[in-house]
Amino acid sequence: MDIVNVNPADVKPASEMRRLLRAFLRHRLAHAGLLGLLLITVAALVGPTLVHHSAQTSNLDAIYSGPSWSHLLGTDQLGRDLLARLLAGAQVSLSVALAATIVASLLGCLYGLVAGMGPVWLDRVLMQFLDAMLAIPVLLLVIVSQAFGESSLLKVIVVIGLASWMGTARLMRTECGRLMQSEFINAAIMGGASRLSLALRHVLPNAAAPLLVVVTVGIGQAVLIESTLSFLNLGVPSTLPSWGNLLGNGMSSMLSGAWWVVLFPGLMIVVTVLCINLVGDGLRDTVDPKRRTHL
Amino acid sequence: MLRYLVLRLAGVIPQLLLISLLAFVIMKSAPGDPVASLVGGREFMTQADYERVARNLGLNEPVVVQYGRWLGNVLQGEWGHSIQDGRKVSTVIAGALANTALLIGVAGVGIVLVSLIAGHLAGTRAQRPVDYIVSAAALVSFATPAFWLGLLLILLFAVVFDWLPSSGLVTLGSPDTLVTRLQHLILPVATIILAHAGPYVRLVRGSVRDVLASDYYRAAVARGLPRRILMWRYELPNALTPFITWCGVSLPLLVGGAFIVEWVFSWPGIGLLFLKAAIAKNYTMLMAAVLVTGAFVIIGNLIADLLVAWLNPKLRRQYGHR
Repeated sequence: MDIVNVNPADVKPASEMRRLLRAFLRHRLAHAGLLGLLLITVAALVGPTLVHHSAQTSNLDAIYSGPSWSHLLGTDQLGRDLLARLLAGAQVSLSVALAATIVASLLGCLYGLVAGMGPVWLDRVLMQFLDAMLAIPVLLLVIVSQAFGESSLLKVIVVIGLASWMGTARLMRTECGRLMQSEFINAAIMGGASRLSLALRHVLPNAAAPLLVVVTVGIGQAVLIESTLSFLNLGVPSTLPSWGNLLGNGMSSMLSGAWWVVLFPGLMIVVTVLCINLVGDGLRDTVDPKRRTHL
Repeated sequence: MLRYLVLRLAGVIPQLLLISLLAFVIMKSAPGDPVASLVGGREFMTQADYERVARNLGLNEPVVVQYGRWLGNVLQGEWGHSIQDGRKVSTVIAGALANTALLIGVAGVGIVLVSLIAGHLAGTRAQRPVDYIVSAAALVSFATPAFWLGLLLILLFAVVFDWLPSSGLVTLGSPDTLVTRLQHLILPVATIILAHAGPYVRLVRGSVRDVLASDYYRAAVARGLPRRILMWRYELPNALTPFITWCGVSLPLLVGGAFIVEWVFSWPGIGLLFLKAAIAKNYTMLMAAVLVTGAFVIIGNLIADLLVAWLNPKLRRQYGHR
């Protein structure tokens, strides 16, 4: 085909998503983060079957035994294998964080959409409430909620989700404001689109990219909140191993000289959150190239 | 400026209301019957007595009225007694507040200094070794839970080397001097700074880079102004406004982190009080701690916003002489 004769209508415009994906894949640090996350996920899923020890079996002959060939990362105060518990803990910690972030994102999106597309007075009220919520430390909220009633896995997820929707809501509200000014939304309104279809078919998909950034970073924050709660014995029920629960006994373990009980679960948390944040940075740089972090 | 002040102060009201509502809900959701607990059980009272006492306590009135009365008491400093040891809540809180203010104050100054210096170094030397080291450290700091870092520092400096005390305000059984007090302050303050400075450093670095790329800065460089003036008159003042805004916005995060650090180091502040109350389900104390923390954060936010308005001529003019 002669290059001169190409009909412009035949040339497929590169889709927005594909352009973003390509830009994201050029981000080197995001590569590292993605690779790290992949490794951690695979380890969490496959790891427990590869380790000879169970995460729950205690061995009173091997209390606080240091890292060795039989226990690669040592054992805890009940002689349970730390590596097995770390891998089992990865499943718990990551699923709690993921589920809590889904709760927070759904709630935040709904809140932001209602505020951004509803009547003006409702917008004012909702935004005042949002501002007031932002003045309360998230940790305070989750700890107070966890102080009431019995602790369960579902409750931890809901509590963390209910305490961390504010960022998503604010972003969704801003995006609504920006998109409602745009030509294509005007066209849709002229075409007789209802508020609901406007919100779901036009605003939400066009806000997806920046939302993805907030959600990604939110998962990392949820990991941190979960670990802090569980460390205080106010999080995941102590019968389940989570990274925070492994650290819950940290102080007394440390004073017994068992540094490995403190070091390794914490490292897992730091590495995981770091990887998530790297991916988040990469996404932010692709979505919003003007605000590149340049690292 | 006055218009801005009034508008901003009006914004504080819903925040205070929400905090007080949260505290009131905590108060109301305390388990057990407040009337029956006065005499040690429902079975010791006749129905008539029960209703009389409930009426005297105002428990038969609508929740809104109860809330109003409760709020009035709180505003007059009547916060009740701790259900654990019977001490007056206001006295306990006042003592703890001073300790928390000291810890967060010193750590806050530390974070400001560290982030301004590190952010300046990284921002002016972008893509060079200093920048890579600072930025990597900031990323790691952002991902590190404060409580874990605290445990590691205790392990290193108190258990392995035995250089610094690991907990409390003073060492029991040894003289209470300024030196020992400072020694007790070092580890908790270092933990807060190291675990929280990350986002602040990244922000300063970003704004410094923005300033350096701006036309007015290049014009100043082209005029041959000395580096000292470039830095103090052009770079830092312009990087300062977003920084102060962020300081206000991130205050809840910092306070939450400081609470956990208080727990790890047994620092007798609001955070330790709050966490102990949460674990022991001491509802009066929990309510008081939530109120004080909320007020602390709201006032901090307010100060940061007013400072920005005062420093930023654009905002001043917008609300100014009209």
